[in-house]
Amino acid sequence: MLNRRSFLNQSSLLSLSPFIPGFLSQTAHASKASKDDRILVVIQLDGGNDGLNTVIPFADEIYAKYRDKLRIDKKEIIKLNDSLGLHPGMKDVGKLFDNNQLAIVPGVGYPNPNRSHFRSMAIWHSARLDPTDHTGQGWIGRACDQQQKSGNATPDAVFVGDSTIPAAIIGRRTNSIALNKEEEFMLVSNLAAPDKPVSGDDLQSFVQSTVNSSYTAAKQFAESTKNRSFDKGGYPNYRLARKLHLISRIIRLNSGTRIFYVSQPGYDTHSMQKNTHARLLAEFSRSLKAFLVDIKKAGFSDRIMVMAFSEFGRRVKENASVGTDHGTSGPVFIAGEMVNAGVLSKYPSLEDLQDGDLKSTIDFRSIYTSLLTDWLNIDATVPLGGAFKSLRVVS
Amino acid sequence: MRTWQLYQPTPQQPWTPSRAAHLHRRTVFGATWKELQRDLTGKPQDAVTRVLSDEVRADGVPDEFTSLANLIGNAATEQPNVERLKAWWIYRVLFTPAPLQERLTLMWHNHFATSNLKVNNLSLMKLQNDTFRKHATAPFGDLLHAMLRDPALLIWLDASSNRRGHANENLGRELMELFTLGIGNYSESDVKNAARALTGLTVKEGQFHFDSHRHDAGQKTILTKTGPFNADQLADVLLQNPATAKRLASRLIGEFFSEGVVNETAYNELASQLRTTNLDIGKAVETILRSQLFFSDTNINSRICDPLSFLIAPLRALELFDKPPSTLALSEWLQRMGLDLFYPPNVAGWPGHRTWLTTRTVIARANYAAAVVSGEVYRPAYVSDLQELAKKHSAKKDDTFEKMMKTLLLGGATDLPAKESTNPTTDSREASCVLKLLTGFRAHLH
Repeated sequence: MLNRRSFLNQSSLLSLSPFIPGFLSQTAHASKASKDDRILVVIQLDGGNDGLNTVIPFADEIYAKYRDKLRIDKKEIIKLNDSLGLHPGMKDVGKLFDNNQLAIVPGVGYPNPNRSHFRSMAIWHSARLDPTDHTGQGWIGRACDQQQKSGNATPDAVFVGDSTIPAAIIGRRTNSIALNKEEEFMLVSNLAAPDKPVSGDDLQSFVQSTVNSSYTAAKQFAESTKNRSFDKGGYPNYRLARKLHLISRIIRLNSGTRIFYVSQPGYDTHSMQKNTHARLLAEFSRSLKAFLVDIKKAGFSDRIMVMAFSEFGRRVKENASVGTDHGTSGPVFIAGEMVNAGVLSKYPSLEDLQDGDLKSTIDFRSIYTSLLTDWLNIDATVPLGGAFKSLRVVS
Repeated sequence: MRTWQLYQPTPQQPWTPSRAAHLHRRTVFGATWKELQRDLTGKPQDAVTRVLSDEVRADGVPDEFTSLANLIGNAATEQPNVERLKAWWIYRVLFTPAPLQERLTLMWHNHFATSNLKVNNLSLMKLQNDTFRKHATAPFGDLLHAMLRDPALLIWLDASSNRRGHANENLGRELMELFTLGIGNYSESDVKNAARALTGLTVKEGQFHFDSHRHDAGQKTILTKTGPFNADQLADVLLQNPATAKRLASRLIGEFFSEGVVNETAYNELASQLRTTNLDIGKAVETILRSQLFFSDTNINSRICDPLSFLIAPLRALELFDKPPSTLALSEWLQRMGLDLFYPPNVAGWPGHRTWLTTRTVIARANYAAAVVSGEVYRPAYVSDLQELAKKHSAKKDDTFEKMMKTLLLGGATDLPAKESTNPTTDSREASCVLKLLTGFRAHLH
């Protein structure tokens, strides 16, 4: 009878079809970063991050008025300049700012903000405001569609996490995969992928190509893990850090994948926000810094750009449960050595609110435009469904 | 309702093993060979009747099912051990005489998607689950009113923080967006007023409690109706709104049909039936399962098999139940396939369909298939004799066994071209056959 070990031993029988992706292949090509080698890592802060307590307009007295119990003490705020500062949990992000590795874009939003998690996230994912355009495809997926080369089965985008692949990285033909931990990539059976690659959008083709790319990815991953010489240290013990560590390992394998996507859940802080929010921001801040340090050690600094966003900010006035309800605009972070560092937009006025929410001072598609054109070298018009003024986030 | 006319066998759409298997795979997590043969010798509408009246399972239902299920469920909440609670539900799905009820219970879990991540109380999660089961086929109002008293849901959506003069909109918004009307059918002002109507709903010592001091009894205008609405009156306003019937029709169609099979007319007719039957879910399910549309070629093997079906159907087909597999092991597999019971990814639940298949979940499914044939779904591992199964059903010849398994596992899909999918080898021809079928791409369609 078959058992797990004999299956594992036989895994090399997996057929070597010409369809095997370059995913996780070990053939490192020593590279000087060209635009085609550049990588974008997106961190999605899930649930609606309280931007007002993340990038804090501490010099504005109205801030203290709206935030009675949730106010961050001025003394503890990490000052960025004489009016803005970071939540005290974000010391590492503060260091990135001091080292010119961080761009902060306050007040990012879009017209007629929607306070539904799903609708707003769908808008950020699809870069389309009209719900009838929310078809499950996203701005990055559509961008990758434009870069499709025939016969290339390297995943265009990798989502690291245990939930479903976000619409942002789904396109018509884009090959997006999800992974969580490496054990999940070990096939116990000797399974062969189909001989012929399939094309088409119908369900059967989708299933066939997903099964195919999954089995081949498993095979490639099994080979890649034989090389254990990767640096393991330096990451704090957070789920986000573990996900970023796995991304770093895949990047070091020179897989060819240019898009990585992770999410950090928990930002939907309707009640008792203070400690939860501090913990979330510390996880975000420390994990991001560790990742960039690791990437620098690996010599990939000039190839990595990280963007962090949330589907909306929260209401300016705290609610009666010491939390905050769904709001509108919020800050976006862009990090990396190649970033155009600094505070890149105007902080929304606390005097001039709309329905108790911050008016946005910049459209999120301005950031997408720069990331696509200046960083990934992909024309942004089609993925974003129009031309938008670019906010230069790349130095 | 011409679009929902009854399915009757015709020369173009005969009552075949493939159609009978379709009924079982789409609605009740697969069949045994005996159950399939029984249905094939009778009329299709009788087979549907058995599904609807909880007489579909002829094999593997223990006499003492109810008391055993209660024992397992109560032990899980008393310990408390969430893995055991997941195993309890899987035990129910595998052994219940009423599998359609379990499928609908899962549908409601997805509709009122509540996660133990925040609720953090297994008794309340189980209570909610039992409420879904109790009202699975009832008029939807029964379930909605029960949900507005459900402690797990109220904790999940911050109901206790929502009080007079201090609104917390979480429950009000999701009630309209996800549970009843659907987005686009209400205004922000409706959300604010709904939140006011819901003030006073709290949970006290694990029980629903209405705190009249916290309730805002003032006038509210919701969906153009004005009154001093409370939670139940708000629910009635929402239940009477045509958008709710449409949303429920859409939920049921999404549960039982492949994409694109049901056209606009049929969708509207189902919504209209729901409206005229007091949103009777059981009647709508019956309309669906008896319909020609349900048995049409475009609706067969044209939907991504959900993880729970992928988990249970092979166990039913291989009759791995007289000696019960480890439901704890099964629960681990189900999580690896992307369905972590009691932990939906967010308030909108699992999006399902194509999103069930990712690299990670496809590999988990293949490894699960190997675990089934190598006996690792038992703890300790125990290899079931598939030759015995073949003998029992007079399918000793290779091709007879393969044909039987193709029908049960793939819904009788056509022959697999050589080398198209997989070619695992094991010591047993029967095991090899099952593994080959379950790791090929057709196993993911049902």
